[in-house]
Amino acid sequence: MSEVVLTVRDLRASYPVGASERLEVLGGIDVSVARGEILALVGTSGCGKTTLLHVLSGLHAPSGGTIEGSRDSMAMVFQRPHLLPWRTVLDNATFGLECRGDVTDANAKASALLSRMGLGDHLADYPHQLSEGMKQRVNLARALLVEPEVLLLDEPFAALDVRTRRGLQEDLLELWGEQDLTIVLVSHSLDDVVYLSDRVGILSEKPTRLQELTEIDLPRPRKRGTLALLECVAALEAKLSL
Amino acid sequence: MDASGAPNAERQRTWPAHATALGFLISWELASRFELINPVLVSSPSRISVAGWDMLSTSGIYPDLGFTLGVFALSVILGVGGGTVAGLALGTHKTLYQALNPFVVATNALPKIVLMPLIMLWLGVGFAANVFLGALMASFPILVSTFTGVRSLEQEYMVLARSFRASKWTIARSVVLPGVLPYVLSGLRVGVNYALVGALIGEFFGADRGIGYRMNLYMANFQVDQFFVCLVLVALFAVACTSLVHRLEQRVERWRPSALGRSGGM
Repeated sequence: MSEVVLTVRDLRASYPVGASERLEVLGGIDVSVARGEILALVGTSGCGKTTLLHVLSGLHAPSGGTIEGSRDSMAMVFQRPHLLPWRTVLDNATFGLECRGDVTDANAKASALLSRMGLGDHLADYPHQLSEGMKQRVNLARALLVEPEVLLLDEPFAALDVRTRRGLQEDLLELWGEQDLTIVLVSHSLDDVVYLSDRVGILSEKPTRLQELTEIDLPRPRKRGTLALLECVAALEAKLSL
Repeated sequence: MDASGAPNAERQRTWPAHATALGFLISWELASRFELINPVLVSSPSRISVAGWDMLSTSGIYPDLGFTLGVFALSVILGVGGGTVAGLALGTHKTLYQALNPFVVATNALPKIVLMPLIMLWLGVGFAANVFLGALMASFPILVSTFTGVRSLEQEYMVLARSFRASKWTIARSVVLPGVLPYVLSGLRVGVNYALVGALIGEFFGADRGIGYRMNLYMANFQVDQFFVCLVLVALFAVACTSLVHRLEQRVERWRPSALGRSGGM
């Protein structure tokens, strides 16, 4: 295994329920992620996948365990794009840089990336003028512009139609290949997971633990609809339904 | 494409209002000329025009206009500042909201005019008391609107900013203020009129200067024409202020889908 950029040991998280009780969501997660790896996390709805990403990104404090890896080098792509409606596409893309106080050449960097992602003609548009796919591209660009070591993706393809979803995944893979990115992806779609990731972590019911880690041993670039890929999806589906 | 399309559309939209105003003025003038109504009590457009020319061509009214404008301007500044800060504070601090909300609701419901005797007792008759009433009246619609704006701001935007490690100052500057600004302006549209009402009421109550003082004086002396001149000046000024705020709102809210094709306002 190459250099490890993120190690999580016995990570626990809980939410308050009522006045004094707490609901334990994460019951002790252990996992390591290597540089340049795409790790997908799958599990049933509400099992705590998003909570895990929130804890990793620092949005939610863990109740126990350790996270080794700089949180400043992580950026999160949310399921909904959350574009600020009063900002143009360009200004939304630079929002992450602005939050981190890194505004040098922000517009130039954002313009270049957005143009590459097919949004060059929409820099001055407002979010309501964009399709869902375009919004999600801005969402991805905003996170990539802060040049994270680890990109946390919280079901970013869930609300997209098949064609847009595939286009965005191709963009993501292209940028991943170029930028030495490490990706932790949460998804419900096993097709997407198998197509994109190097390893898949299957999460148990609450309190969530990592039940199993499976390698996706398929060469890249992968092709959709091939027998090998479909077999991988079927095997994963069988493990999930156990 | 017809280049004169936009002006034509504008004419189409405004002609009913222009026709109504013209019809009203002609009817008023005729009714007054033929003494269907008492011209001493209700004047007429021509008498008001003559009185207006007399008043505006001599310098007598200008110090009073200046005084009222000064009270109004300061009332708006203090009202906007106070209302915005209070709205932001109540919207963002739960404990402060719980502590002060009953007082805010009670004061908001109270007709502010009943406070004028007390304000005059504390601040004396004149400029300071009038500004206080004007600012108090202007601040509440802005406070309520700003508070609503803060509460309507999507929490996801805060979460997004926090995910990028934004400081509290960055969140305030880049998320809260731009998100709340349309609400502040919406409150301001009402607030400017309230500030004007407050300034004039203060002058009605007891002052030796200002347009309100003059209106009081003209009515006491049965100078109805001159009273109407002041009324027209106040109405024109109020319309100008409202239009200005409306334009500002359109400029600030150009990102809204509904901003396209929206026109007019009250």
